[in-house]
Amino acid sequence: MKDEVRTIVEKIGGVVEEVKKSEIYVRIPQQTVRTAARLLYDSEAYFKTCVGVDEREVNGFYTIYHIFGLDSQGVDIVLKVLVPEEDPQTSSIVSEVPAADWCELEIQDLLGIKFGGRLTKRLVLPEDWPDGVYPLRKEFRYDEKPSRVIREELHEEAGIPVGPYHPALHEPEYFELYVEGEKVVDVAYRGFHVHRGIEKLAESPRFTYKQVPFLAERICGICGFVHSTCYIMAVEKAADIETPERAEFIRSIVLEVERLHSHLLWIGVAAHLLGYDAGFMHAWRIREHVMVLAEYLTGSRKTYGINVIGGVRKDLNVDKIDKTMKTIAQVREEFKKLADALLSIPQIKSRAVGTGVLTKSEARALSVVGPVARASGLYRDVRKDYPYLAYGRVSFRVPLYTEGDNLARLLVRVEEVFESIEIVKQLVDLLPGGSVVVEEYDIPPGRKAVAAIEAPRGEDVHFVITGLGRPYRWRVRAPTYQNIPALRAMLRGTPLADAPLTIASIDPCFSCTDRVLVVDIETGRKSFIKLVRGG
Amino acid sequence: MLHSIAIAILQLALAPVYDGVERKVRAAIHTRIGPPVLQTWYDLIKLFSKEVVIPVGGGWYTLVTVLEMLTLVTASILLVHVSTVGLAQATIFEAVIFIVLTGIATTLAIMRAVSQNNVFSVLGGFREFSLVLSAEPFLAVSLLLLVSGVEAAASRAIAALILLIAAYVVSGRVPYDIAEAEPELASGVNIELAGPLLGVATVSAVLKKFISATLTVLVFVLLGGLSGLTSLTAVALLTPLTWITHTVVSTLLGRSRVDLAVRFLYTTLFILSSMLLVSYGLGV
Amino acid sequence: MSIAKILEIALKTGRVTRKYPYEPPLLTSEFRGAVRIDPSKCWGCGACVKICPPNALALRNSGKEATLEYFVGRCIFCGMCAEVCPAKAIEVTKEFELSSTSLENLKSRVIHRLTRCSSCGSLVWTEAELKSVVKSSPIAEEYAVLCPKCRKSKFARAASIRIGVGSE
Repeated sequence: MKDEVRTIVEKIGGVVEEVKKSEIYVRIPQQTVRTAARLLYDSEAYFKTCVGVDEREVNGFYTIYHIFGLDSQGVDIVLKVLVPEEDPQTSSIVSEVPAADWCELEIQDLLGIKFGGRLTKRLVLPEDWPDGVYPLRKEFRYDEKPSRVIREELHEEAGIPVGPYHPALHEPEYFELYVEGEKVVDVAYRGFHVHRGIEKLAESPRFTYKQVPFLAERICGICGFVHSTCYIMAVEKAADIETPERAEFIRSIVLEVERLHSHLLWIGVAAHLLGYDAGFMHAWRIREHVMVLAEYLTGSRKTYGINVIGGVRKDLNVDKIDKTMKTIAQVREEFKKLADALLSIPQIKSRAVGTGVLTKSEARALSVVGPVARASGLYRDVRKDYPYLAYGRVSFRVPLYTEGDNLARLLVRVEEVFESIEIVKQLVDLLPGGSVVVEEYDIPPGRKAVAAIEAPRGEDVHFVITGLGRPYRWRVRAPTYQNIPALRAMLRGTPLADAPLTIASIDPCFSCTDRVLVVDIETGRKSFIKLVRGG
Repeated sequence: MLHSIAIAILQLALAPVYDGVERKVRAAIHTRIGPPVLQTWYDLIKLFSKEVVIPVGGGWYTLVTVLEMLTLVTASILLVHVSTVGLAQATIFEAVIFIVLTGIATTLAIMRAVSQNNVFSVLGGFREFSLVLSAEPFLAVSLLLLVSGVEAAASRAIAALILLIAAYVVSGRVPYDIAEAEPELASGVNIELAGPLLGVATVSAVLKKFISATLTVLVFVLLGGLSGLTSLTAVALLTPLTWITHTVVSTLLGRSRVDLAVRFLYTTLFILSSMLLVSYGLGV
Repeated sequence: MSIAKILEIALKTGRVTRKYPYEPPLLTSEFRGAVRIDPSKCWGCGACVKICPPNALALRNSGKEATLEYFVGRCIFCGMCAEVCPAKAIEVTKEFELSSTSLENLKSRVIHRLTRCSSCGSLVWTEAELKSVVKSSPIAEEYAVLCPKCRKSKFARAASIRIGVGSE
């Protein structure tokens, strides 16, 4: 433990249960968790997520893990809070750490732990889910279907509906925009329509350690490789499995190829939302080179399916390396021209400048991640802060903007395309020899690990507690989960016409976010309805 | 007049083909194959063969949608008739009728949009209204001035410029397609339309592009001093060319926002109109 | 005019979309499509069923026959089954145009006859597996048709007779 970290850990008190290379588990009594969280949040730690686990079989308690990331030291500090079975409630840390809002509600929905000292509502479970049935408790079977409860609609829909099906959103999600004339004054969000309970599924007898990567890869249709890699990294960390270096390089190369495709896709969508369809078509045309490359390297355009615990299933050869270098050179040249053309379109500038602003302090309070954080002046990138796989071996720049508007987020992504290309080049040059997979390994139960990866949309966090033959608990926190709460701040005061662009500017991935809710609209907001009808 | 109508029918039948060319040209700039040139015709045939879906508002709504199209058809025929003689020979009466017809068409379009119990449609209607207010009055002034046979070169040039800009706005293309704005308003003014009624609205949209292109050509024909048969030939040849030019321009731009669009158009057209007023007053 | 640059790019690039399905699709040599199971090689061991993440493969036992069913509608084309198959009976093809109007067309089956123990009559497993076992580790015909339990006891008996212990 470094001195700086030790000082912080000593300050927060509690019992240090486990110290690993990049994780420190500290057990905190319920009464002081709020103070501890405050201390951590004030000492530059970002909030990653919280995880509720039914550990009654293990220690007789429900356990809550609050994961804080000390970016400056590359260490995760995990606060462990034990919640007694007979009285499942604990104190909320939302007043100190606003970013913990959703994950606490999620624990409440799925594990039935009440959080004192905060407003609560259903977030993840659908309205017709019965009360008192908590799917993440171990006695709940993964294939159980509780009977539906018909409830009265709690609110009438008003305002301007964006979603659940809307041409600007490519997934079922619902935003309700309240406007004065054409200016958005407030937003209500309702998500989790596509929650599929995969965390539960992965701990069911239906799955094994070896099969979960394929499930994880299907969390997201765009950055699936991030999820399978992150799951595998967590398991490998927990079980101390040494992955061959070559496999780590190949994973890093494929991760960057995935980022290239994801950013090009997003830039195309942004152009389309701004009515510049030529930009859309050309961005996707360039992306196609990346898709073909991905298929050639892995066997599939998306959901690559090459990740297994202990390494990768497909090696690189001379032809593949050659094709990789040719493709990225071509993408670089073509994207350079397109980016120049795109940024010269007058409507793109006038509509992206100053719209959807997220200030640095708001961004910090919500611990936002990825390009959204970097466009609001927060210097954070998992690849730099917690160098994983082969990222410690390459040099690259982290684009940083302070404006926090849609243009800044666009520029961050444009620059990251070039950085990714440089990273791939360096990785290919440094590619070590050797095997790409270890066949023999053993995963002892009861081990814990946090793994994080810089996905194209930001930090993706997976937390694993190992079990027998399959994870005892697997928690996924996709980057969008952390960024959606920031949308409220971003949308207020933005012209309605720029709302779709602003929503898109966090590069939302709703399906990733929804692995598991419903927002009631407070009565106070109804006063805006009339304005809508009038305008 | 009879042969004007015959020519008009031919021109109107060609309008969807020009639209097909537009789609093909846009596709080429996108490096796509694009749909066949007759695609707009195929679309119309399909839409009119579907079952009739009447949105909330019932018969009144249908009536307004159809009237809008018929007004635009009349305006188009009038424009084709004018092109057989040339803009210089057109009467003030014809110009006034044309202005009134396009005014009625836009009013009907806005009425259709705001009568719907659908926020997207209503918002689209209001956007259309703001846009029309900042373009059509200037179109009317410049058109009347040109038809009135003013000889002064500067006045003619400025009036022509105003007409060219305003005519582009009327075509409803990017950056001024804000009343529909697919990703923002989910088709806005057209959101409640389906089947034959959507077909009617599609015809209206194509006719607006046709009017825009023809009007632009007429201005050049007038400035070129053509009339009679040469005017007619020039219009027939130049309309598709103008149409393609409009297409290329729209492909190179992004969509504007209602406040930005109104501010830009109003400022530009207001300054030009003031210049026009001064030059007209001075007789240059 | 940098906004007109896109015209130059378009002109240089030409047309990139294809008239698929009238032109061949763009597949690389590495593409993974549906799998094909060779019935003459398959033993019916079920290794593929165990590894298959989406349950696209299932092994059913009717008492007389064992059926390995591949339902392409569930397949995620990961190719793990081909990797674990001890008989190398599964081949990953490049087929991806798999849509059909009938559910039955999405299923393919390999049917195995089952063998029963010649001594106690209990279920051994498929004939094909038995044959492959006999082939890889030659054992006498009389042992091959026995279930593991009977085989053990028969072997024990034979061995005890040979070394002369345990006989009554």
